[in-house]
Amino acid sequence: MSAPAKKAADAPAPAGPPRRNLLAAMAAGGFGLVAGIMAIVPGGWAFISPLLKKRDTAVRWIRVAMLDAVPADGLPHRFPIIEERVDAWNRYPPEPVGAVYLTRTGATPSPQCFTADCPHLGCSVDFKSDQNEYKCPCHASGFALDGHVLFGPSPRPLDSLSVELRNGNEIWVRFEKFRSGIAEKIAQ
Amino acid sequence: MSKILDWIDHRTGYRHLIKEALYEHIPGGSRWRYVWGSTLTFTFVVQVLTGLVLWMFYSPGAQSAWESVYYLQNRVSGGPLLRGVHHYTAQAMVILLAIHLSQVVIDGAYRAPREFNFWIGLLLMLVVLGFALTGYLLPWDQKGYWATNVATNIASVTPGAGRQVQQLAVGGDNYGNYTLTRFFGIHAGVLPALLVGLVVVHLALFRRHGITVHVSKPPRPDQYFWPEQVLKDAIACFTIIGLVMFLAWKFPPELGAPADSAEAYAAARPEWYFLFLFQFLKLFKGDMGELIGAIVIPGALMFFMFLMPFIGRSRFGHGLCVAVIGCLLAGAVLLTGAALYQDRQAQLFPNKNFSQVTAVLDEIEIDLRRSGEQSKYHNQNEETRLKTYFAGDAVKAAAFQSQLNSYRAYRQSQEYLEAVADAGRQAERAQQLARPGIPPAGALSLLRNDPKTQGPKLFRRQCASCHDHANAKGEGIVTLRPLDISKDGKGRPVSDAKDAPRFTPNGAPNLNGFASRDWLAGFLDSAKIAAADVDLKKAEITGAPYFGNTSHWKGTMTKVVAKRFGNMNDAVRADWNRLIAALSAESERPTQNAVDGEFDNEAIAKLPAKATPADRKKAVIAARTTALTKFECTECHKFHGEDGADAPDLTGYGSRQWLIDFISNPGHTRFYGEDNDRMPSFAADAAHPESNLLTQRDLGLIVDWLRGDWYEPPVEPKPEKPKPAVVK
Repeated sequence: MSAPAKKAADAPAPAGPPRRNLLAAMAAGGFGLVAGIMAIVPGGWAFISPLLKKRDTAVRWIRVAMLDAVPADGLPHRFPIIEERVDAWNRYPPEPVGAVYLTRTGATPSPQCFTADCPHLGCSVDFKSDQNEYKCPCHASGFALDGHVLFGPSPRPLDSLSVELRNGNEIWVRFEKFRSGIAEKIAQ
Repeated sequence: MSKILDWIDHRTGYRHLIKEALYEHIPGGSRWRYVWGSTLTFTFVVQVLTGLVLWMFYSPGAQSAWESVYYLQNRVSGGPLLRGVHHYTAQAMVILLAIHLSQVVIDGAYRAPREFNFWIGLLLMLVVLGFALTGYLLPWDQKGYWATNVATNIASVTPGAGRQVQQLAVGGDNYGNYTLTRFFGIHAGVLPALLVGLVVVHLALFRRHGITVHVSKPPRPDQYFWPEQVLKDAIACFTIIGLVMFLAWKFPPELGAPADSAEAYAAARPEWYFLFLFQFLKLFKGDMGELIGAIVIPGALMFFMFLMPFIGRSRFGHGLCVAVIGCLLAGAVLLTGAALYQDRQAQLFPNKNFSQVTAVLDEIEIDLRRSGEQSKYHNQNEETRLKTYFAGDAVKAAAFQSQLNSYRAYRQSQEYLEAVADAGRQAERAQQLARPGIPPAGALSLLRNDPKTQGPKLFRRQCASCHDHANAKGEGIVTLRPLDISKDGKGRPVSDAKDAPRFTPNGAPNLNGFASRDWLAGFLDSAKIAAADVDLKKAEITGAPYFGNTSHWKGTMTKVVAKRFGNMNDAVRADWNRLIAALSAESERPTQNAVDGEFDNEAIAKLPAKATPADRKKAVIAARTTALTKFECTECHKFHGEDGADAPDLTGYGSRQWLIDFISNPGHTRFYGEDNDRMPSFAADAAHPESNLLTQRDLGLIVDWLRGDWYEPPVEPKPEKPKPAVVK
C-alpha cells in the first residue's frame, strides 16, 4: 500500500458546506429510489400480469349431450364438458374441462342443469342416487335435487346453468364458472 | 500448517468467527430444552439440500410435473428416498415449529427486548406454512391439485384483494402451467430467500439477546455452546433425520393419479397438519361462514400472536398468552382428531349396526319402487322422506334424528374410504400405464385413453341403466331395477301362478365377460337364459343375467335354447361345449387366447404340413361353422358363409368390430332389426358423428373394456438371490 493512500484513508472526512450535503443526500436518495423502483418494475410487471390480462368473458355455449342420452327419470346424470382449452402456451384439442349434472323429467322437454363445482370451495359434487342428494366430498355440503342447501357449509345453492335445445335434440349449456365461498352467484 | 492458517485468519478473521459461533455463553449450562431452534435450522438445511437435488429432477408443467415426479420416484435410484426425506422433513419442521413456538411463549421469551425476534419468528412460521402449501401442489397429482384448489379458493373469499391474490397465485383464470411455474418459483426461490434472510436476522438477534434462561434450582454452572450444547443439538438432529430416513424408507411418499380438473376427486384432504383448519371450516355455515372460519378467526389469532410481546408484559397478560397458545394447540389436536375420526370411523368400527335406520330407509325405498311417481316420497331427499315417514309423530322423528345423524356420518366415512381406495387404484393404474414411457401429451392422456379406467365410467353413464356388469358374486356395476307392474296386462308374468300380475321388462343382459365361454355357457343354458327373480314384496327384479328382464324372455332364442339344451345327454353336451368354444372364439377376447388357440389348433392339425395361412384360416372357420350347424344355428343366424335369416349375424360375434357395429346400431338388419328391444343406436349416423350419443373414441373404450382388452404391465419376475456357486 502506498504512503499517500494510507494518509488519505486516515484523514478525517472533509466537512463540506451543509447546503451541498443536503443536495447530495437528496440526489443520492432520489437516484437510489428510482434505481430501486426500476429494479423492481420488470419483475413486478410480469408478476402481476394475470391481473392485467383481460379476462375471457365471452359467453360459451357448449353442446353437452343428445337429449336421448339423458333418461327422463327425474334423476341427475353427470356429463363431461368437452371443450378446446388453452393453458398458457398449450392449446389442447377438445377434452373434458369440467362436468355438469343434467336432470330430465317427462314433464319438460329441456333438462335442468347444474354445474358439478361445489359453490363452497370448488370441489366436485357427486350425486348419490340412494340418498337422492348431491354431496360434496370435501366439506360435506349436501344439496337437494333442486339445488338448495340441505346441510353443510355451502353459502349458496348449486349453480344452475342455462340450457337450450338446438336442432331438436341437442342439449347446449351455457358453461360458466362462478366464484366460490360467497352467497351471491357471480361469474368468475 | 499453522502458518497457512495464520495467513488465512489474517485475511478473513475466521478464528474470531468460529469463536463467536461456538463459544457462546450459556448461563446455567447446556440443556435439552434448548435444542429446538437448532433442530429447526438443521431441518431447513436438509430441505435446501434435498430440494436442490429434487430441482434437478423436476419439471414444472402440466404435462411434465407429475411425469417427472413419477420418473424420479420409480426410475431414479435413490429417488424415493430423496423425495421421502424432503416430504417427511417438511412435516417434521411443522412439528418442531409448534414446539419451538410454544416454548418461546411459555418461557416468556417474546418479552422485551426480544419483541422483534418473536415477530420474525412468527414470520418464519408463515414462511414455513407457505412452503407446505406450495409444495403440496408441485407433484401435480389429484390430491395436491384439489387440496390447493380449495386453498386458493379460500384466499379469494378475503374482502378487498382476495380475488387478486387468488389470480396472482394461480397465474391466470384457471389452474395450469402458470400455476405450476409460479408455485415452483415461490417454493424454490422466493420462500427460501425470505427464509434465509429472516433466519439470519433471527439468529443475529438471538445472539444479541442470548438464550432466555430457565432459572433452575440449585443454580448450575455456566457453559459454552461448544461442546455440551452442540452435542445435545447434534443428538437431537440425528434422531430427527434418523426418524425421517426410516419413514422415507418404509413409507415412501405417495403419488396420486395425475391432476385432472374434470375428474371428481372425493378423497381430497389437506396434509395432516392443515387438517385442523379443514375441520374448522366445516363448523361455519351460511353467507359469511367462509369468511369468518377461514379468514377472520385465523387472522385474529395471528394478530393476537403479533401483539403477544405487549400483552405478555404483565403477569396476567403472560398467562393469557400461554392460555391462548395452549388452547390453540389443544384445539388443533382435537380438530385433527375429529377430522381423522370422521373420515375413518367406518374403518375403526367396520361392523357398526344401523339396522333401525336402514330398515326405515329400505321401507321408503321399497315404497318408491312400488309406487314410482305416485309414492309420497317421490322427488324428496332423504331428510324430507323421513319427515314424511314420521309425519305426525314428532317424538319418534326426533328420536330417530340422532340415529340418522350418526348413520349419515358413518356412511360419509364409508364413502370417503371408498374414495381413498379408488384414488389408490387410479394412482396405481396411472403408474402402470406410465411404465413403458409417457407420450409428450402427458400421463393424463394415457389415463383418458385407458379402457380399464374409462370403461366403467362410460358404462355407468351410458349402459348401466339397463345392463349390469357384475361377476358371479354380484360384484361390479349393479343397478337395482324396480318392478314395473304393467296395467294393460301385457309383459311377463311375475310367476308361473295362474293370473299372476305381469311386469314390463326393464333390464338387459349382464355384460360381464360378454361372449366369453363362461358367459355363453350361461346364455345357452335353458335354466338361465330367461331366468328372473321377482320379489313382489320388495318390488325388485334381480337374478336376470340374460333375457329374463327383456322382451326376448319368450323369444325364439329362448325357445330354441329350452328345446335344444333342456335335457342334454353326454354326446349332446360335448357338442354344446364345442358350440360354445367355436362361437366364443369369434370374439377373440384377449383373456381367452390360450383356450381359443387349442380349438383352432385341433382344426389346423388335420391339415397337411404345407398348408398356407389362408388354408389354416379356412379350416378354422369350417370347424367353427360345423360346431354351429350341428345345432342348426345358421338356420336363423348368419355365420361366415352361411346365410341364415333375420337373427343377429354371428360372424365375428363379440369381436371389437362386431361390438362397435352392434352398439352403433343394434336395430340394423344385420343385428336385431325390428326385434330390437329398447337398446338405442349409439352411433348410427356416421356422416354426422356429432349427433351420435357416443363418440367413436368412447365407443371404442367401452368395447375394449367389455372385451377385457387393455394394457397390463408384464409381470416382473422377482429377482432371485444368486445361489452361491458350488465349487467342486
